[in-house]
Amino acid sequence: MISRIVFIILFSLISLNLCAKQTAFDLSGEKIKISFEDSEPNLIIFGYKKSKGFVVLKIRGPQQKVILQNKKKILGMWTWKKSGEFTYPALYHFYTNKKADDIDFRIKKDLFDNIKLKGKDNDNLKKDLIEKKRALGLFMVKNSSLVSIEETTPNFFKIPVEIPFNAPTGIYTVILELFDKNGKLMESSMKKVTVEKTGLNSMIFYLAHRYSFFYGFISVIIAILLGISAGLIFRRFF
Amino acid sequence: MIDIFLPIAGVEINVIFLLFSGLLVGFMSGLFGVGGGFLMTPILIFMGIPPATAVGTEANHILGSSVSGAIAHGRKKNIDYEIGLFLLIGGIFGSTLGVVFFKFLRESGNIDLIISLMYIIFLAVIGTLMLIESSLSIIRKGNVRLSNKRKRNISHYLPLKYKFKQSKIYVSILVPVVIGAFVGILSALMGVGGGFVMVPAMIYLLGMNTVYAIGTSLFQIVFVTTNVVILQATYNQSVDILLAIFLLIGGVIGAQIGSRYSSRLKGEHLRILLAIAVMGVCLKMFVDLVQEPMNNSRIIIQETNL
Repeated sequence: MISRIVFIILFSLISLNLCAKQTAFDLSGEKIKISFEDSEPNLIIFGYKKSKGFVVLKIRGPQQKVILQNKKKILGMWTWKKSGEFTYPALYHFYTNKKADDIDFRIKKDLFDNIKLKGKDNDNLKKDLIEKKRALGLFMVKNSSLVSIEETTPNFFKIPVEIPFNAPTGIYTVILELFDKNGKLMESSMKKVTVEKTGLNSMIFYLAHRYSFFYGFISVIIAILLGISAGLIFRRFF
Repeated sequence: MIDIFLPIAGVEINVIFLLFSGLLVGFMSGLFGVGGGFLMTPILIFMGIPPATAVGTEANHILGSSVSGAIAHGRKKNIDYEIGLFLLIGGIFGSTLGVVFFKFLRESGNIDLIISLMYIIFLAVIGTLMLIESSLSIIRKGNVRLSNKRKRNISHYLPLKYKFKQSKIYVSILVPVVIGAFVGILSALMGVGGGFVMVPAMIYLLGMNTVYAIGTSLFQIVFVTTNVVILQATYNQSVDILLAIFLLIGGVIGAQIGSRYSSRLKGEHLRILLAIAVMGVCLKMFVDLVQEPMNNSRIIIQETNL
């Protein structure tokens, strides 16, 4: 009898706790496979939100160390010169339910805070990097992107997510955040997703970077075989 | 429109356009008996392929397009293996040095500038020489032959002289080693075979017969470009095999067609056309170098998954 009471109390507490949560989400899969030919959304986020606040879904790629180079003029000729060295998430996408086109200040701050510059901090350089990454499609902010699943259940939504082909493979983090009217963070939940690449392109890229010597050797063999056989075929049939 | 993504170059490109470029350059190399690397690399750069990848990949293309020629010359016994060996010693040394220098320039961000500058200088020199030579031969109408008398030059005064039996010459081994090393550096930095430098040098400095010079230079090119491709792939990740395959398919077919036409067409007029094409490419490279660039920032990835 006592155990039953304890169970009922516990269950109610858990349910209460669940009900207290304003948002929840899940992913269409734990693994995403991206290929050059396929430009369909490769991940769908299914979410639930009870309150009317500002919702941000973030997709964050693995950390990357990069060098930013700019063109400089030397003796009348343009050449590349290193402007800075950074560490940042290779991909950073934001999906929000904001109706306007402008980028929310919290997102801007988040982008800036996640870029670590080696040496002295320089906001202009960070701005340059953000611009470049946006041009490459690796940083993106998409407002009014929560699609309601059914009109009768407005609390449930989905977000089709597309990871571009130039994004690196690895473990990505998906974070759903809810802000109240005053801009205060109310809730945050996180899930991980693995991004993999399929197709010949990715295999070549992987080989060339991971097994460079072997790749060079294979390239030599392919060129020699192709050079000899193409010549033979042409002479025989034409 | 069939577009493919080149994995190492990191750009999207039209397959038909790529095959056609390979075919065109192959046709010209078949027609004139030149390797074509000095035209293909600039064309790849104009297409938007990063210069470093264009150079690394072109070395692979040259390897593929030289190998059947080298085998054919080998069968006809047109290769002087003794001279070839000394050229190769220099070539391996020069190309290895070139790739190390390439890596250093790439890291400092200046490789694109150096590639462009070297091309501008070389194309200007080749274009001018070709223009002068073909104009002169039109004026002379071919009735004056260049005297083939062997003059004594530097290769006869240097130490370490050796008797090369096949070519019947007695010269210092330092000369082929230096020629090989110079061509090796060019091969690593410009993605060319270097036949356009090596063959005249072998004829005029070593006093070799033209057929042996061509056969032996092809022999050297095959091994030096093999060295360049493996080193470029290992240290600079600048060889795009997919790009090389498309260039080779177009190039081999083009070269076969070109070599069939070469006997039917008038040489001098065509050489003037080639010289003009070379000068045009040179001018375009120069303009690109001094003009305000459209794209003035780029990201170089050092490491992922830290």
